[in-house]
Amino acid sequence: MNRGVSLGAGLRALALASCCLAAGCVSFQYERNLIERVPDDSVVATFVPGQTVLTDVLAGMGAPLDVWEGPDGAPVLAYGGVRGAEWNVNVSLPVTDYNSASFSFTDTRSRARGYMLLFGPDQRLEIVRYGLLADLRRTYARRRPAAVEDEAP
Amino acid sequence: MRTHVVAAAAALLLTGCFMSRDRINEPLVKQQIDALQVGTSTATDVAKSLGAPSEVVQLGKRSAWRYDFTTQKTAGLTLIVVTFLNTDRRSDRCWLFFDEADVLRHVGTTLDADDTRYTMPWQDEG
Repeated sequence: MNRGVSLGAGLRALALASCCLAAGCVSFQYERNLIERVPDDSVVATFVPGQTVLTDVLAGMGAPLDVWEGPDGAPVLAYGGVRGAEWNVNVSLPVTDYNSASFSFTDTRSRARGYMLLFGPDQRLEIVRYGLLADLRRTYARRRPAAVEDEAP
Repeated sequence: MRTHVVAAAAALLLTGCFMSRDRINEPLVKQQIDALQVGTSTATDVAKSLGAPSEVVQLGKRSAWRYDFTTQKTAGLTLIVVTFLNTDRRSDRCWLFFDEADVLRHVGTTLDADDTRYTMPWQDEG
């Protein structure tokens, strides 16, 4: 009987010790991200392709998250943000002596979801699309020819 | 009973709350942006007033410059092996559009960095 009590206490102690030791290398994380302002759908709904001009969009929506060159050299404006939460399991091993948390503007743009507004050469709105901004950029960005290396000596 | 007390004490000792703040670039000064004149100010004027932009985008023969200041606030709670984390990141951002002659034609400004908050994941965005 005494042996049973001893075994139970030992298991509890082992579980507690394992929990403490595991905290250093295995952990669970629930993370919510609120990144930049999410575009207002009601404002975007007032934009009319062929009529709305670049100045109207900047006045109504403010500074875009991203700007890139459209297929014919005209501006493409992207408005978006990140709203999401998820569970993660982190397993870490001491492979480096130093690490630090960091974030970047590029990171925000690659994860943001929102509106892309493509303008024509006359600065009038032509196309409005909603989606992952990184995907929209791949579809609607101007493709410039690759550089050609000069083979002359 | 004694085991429960020890476990509760250990849990309390291993509990931790934390907060951190990161900032990129210097805050944008609204008065400096408002002082720029659309149709008059040139890229040189802008560079003298606001300094070097964070990004320059070529738009055919035109260009657009980005200035930004970003604040990120992170708040978290760790319970032994479980961490609850909230990251709130917002920016002051200004895009300036120039024509072929480097004259300022359009300005778009958003000043949201001050709206960044320390919140827990289960709280409202605020």
